[in-house]
Amino acid sequence: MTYHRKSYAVWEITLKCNLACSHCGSRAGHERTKELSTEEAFDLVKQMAEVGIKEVTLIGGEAFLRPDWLEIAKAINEAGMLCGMTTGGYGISLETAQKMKSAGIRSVSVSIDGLEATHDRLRGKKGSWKYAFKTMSHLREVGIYFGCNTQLNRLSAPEFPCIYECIRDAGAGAWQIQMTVPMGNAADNADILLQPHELLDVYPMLARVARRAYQEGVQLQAGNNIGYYGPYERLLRGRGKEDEFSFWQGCGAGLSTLGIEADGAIKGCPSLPTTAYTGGNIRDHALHEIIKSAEELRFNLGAGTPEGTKHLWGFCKTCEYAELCRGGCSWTAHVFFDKRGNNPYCHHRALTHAEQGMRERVVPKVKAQGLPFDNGEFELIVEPTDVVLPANDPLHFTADSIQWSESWQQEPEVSYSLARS
Amino acid sequence: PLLPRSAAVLES
Repeated sequence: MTYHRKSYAVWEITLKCNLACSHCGSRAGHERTKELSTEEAFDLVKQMAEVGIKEVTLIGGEAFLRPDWLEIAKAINEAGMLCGMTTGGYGISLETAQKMKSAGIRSVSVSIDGLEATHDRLRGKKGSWKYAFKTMSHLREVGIYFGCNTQLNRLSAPEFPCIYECIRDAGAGAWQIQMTVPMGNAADNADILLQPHELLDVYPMLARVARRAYQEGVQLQAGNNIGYYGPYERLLRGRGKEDEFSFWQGCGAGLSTLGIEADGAIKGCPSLPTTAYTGGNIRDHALHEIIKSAEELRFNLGAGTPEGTKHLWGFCKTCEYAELCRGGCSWTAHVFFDKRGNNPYCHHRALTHAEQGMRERVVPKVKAQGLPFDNGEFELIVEPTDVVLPANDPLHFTADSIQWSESWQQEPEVSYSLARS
Repeated sequence: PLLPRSAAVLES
């Protein structure tokens, strides 16, 4: 049996940022008070290689605002690990792109969170959309492979078909989509979050866009909080191949993934809240000790035993996929309810409720404190679908909200499911 | 020795 899985780390090398995104989970802007020194960063690179990390993605904040970022990229490359980067793209000149190529950065993901007005609004900077596309042209010119990543929320979802056309035309090879969830700044802007019952209109649209993307050579990559087990699961998670086993197989935090914060905090996944999921700091313990011993990085071990599902509650506890799914994305569940194990952002779940004449929605209950990677708490409401939704909700998402440009008129809706064919 | 480590109806 060939072994294909890779282990990778997502490393926030600085929290300093030149954008001010209203959905930013880390509330990036100013650098952290005690970010790792260059020497400490080089030592961490060495330790990552020793524990079996194969690939490192540099993020921020904005990674290129750290003066030694290209030295770190070069060190990662020289240690035998692949180095990639995720960026807001606000300020990568052609000269910088050439330096990135020389430092060994193999791939870049540029954040595009809507069409121009929406992107600039969400990212808090007029002109950031135009510069992101300029960055992509620079990457293309120097020959660095690039893709895009997009937050899926009530502002961006209506524009998804048009966003796709823009990034395809820019030459993006891949497109990762991720649901906006209430961590950090997004916790203070709950009105932009999709509601669980709105997934019923989101997923048919995503499937239609995904199918066209695959046909036109753009690999759509469903993030870990996209899913689960609905009629389009294999299409969305199969990266164009629709293999019979292309479906969600549980949270991978601490199994193949590490998240590293700029001050040396180690988590099992870069998205997880700092307070509840930090296993230790690289300044206090060796990386291999943290991975081996910290309970915060071991919570996904024990699948297939009672230990593997004991954290589940609510709908997820009784779901027929529970043993494999284990509550979907831990980050998503935690930032809504301050504990993992029950995730209403699930297509299968929304469909199940709809068949019973019910729907779910979330309402803010406890505010977040205002720290990086923090979360508040939401109340989960399950109600009959004939109950009138709250008034004064101008961002409410429906299928009618979606903007299909003329080119989509030739594209049939995706009404099939591989599972049923 | 450390990473990566190891830790389904879809008739629907």
